Amino acid sequence: MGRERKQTQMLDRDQVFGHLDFSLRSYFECNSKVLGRFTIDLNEEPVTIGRNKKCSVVLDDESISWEHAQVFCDGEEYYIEDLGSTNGIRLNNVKIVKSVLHHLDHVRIGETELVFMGNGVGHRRS
Amino acid sequence: MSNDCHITFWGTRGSIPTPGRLTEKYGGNTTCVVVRQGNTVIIFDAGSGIRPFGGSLAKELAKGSGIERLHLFFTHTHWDHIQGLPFFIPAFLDNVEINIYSSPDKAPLLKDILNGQMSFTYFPIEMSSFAAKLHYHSLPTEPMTLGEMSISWELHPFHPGGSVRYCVEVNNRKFIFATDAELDPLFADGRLSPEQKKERTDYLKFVEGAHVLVADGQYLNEDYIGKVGWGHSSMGAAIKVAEEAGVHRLALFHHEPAYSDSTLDRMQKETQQACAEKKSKLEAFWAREAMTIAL
Repeated sequence: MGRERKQTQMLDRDQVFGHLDFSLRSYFECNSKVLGRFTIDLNEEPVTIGRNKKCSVVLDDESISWEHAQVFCDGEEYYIEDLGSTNGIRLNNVKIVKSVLHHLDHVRIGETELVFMGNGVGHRRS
Repeated sequence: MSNDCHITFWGTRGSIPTPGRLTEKYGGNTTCVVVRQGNTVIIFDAGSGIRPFGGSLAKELAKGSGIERLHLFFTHTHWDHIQGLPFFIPAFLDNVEINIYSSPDKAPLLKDILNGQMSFTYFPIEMSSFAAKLHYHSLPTEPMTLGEMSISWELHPFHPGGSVRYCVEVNNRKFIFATDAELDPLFADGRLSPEQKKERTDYLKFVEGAHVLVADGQYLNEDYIGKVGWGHSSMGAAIKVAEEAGVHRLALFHHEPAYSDSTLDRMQKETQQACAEKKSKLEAFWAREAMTIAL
């Protein structure tokens, strides 16, 4: 008795991988006592963080200055820079003025903790 | 223009450049630290870290930043403190002036030493190809003033061949650059010779109350035992001395090439926890490439 041959079933790509994010993206996972959990997406455009409504990311938290920090990409790497804030920026518990960011770096801005997810550093999001 | 004084780490690794996946966070480039206030730029050492600094500065110069006069201070001339100079782009620009300083005992030899590492046997471009105006100086005995910064120095006797430690004072703040020094014998429990006692006292006086101290902390305490006499300190000694001298912020520096980012991450976390537990006022961290801090 011959073995029954199974037919190959073609599956739709989205059906199998649809729940996974294959885009090269860098972002911050954020956690704030005041604002809860949220994400800040990063791309080639500089991102300003502060309480000022003109900032690209507005964090309405009194521990954060009106224009507190800027995150930017120089085409290769992401940097974070203090814009002259009152309470400063701490990177892995070290007070800094400016630094390149590495995957899983912990940044503290006021009462907000940000973890840098540098999966696609320097690459355009697909 | 901001009057703030900033310190940027361009090269933090000791002994030899150490590129690779395991060192990309704290960096693999050898010694180069830049102190800057306005248009006054002071460079400490020309290890391989001076190459990325030169690239960054060249972009500023192209935009007309007005920084045409640089001051390069050498601690000593071991390879890891001079090897980046042939790749320093501003040295090839004719609108740049570089003032080069070294201790009086090294100054007469410095030009030949730097020329020597660019002789044809070792490098295709000779130092005479530099277009920048180079001025060599022997460090003066009295503190010197550059912009608003006052710079003083002392000899570091506890490194093979000797080294120099520097102090920059500005805005009532004090920055100390004191790499390549083996502090363990001077600060261990035990009897010291009169000469060692003097060296210990001189060192403590020099770094006392520093707002930022960049200090040699190359080895894990357990590894130092096998490196006695090599001219570098254990992390424990660097921290102990900084606490004793009332230093505010200690940047551990001259990282051992064999240590990965995860090792230095662990040391930073454990040290910060230990300082917090004993309510130490010292803020200790491991210097990281492309990181700028305020003085």
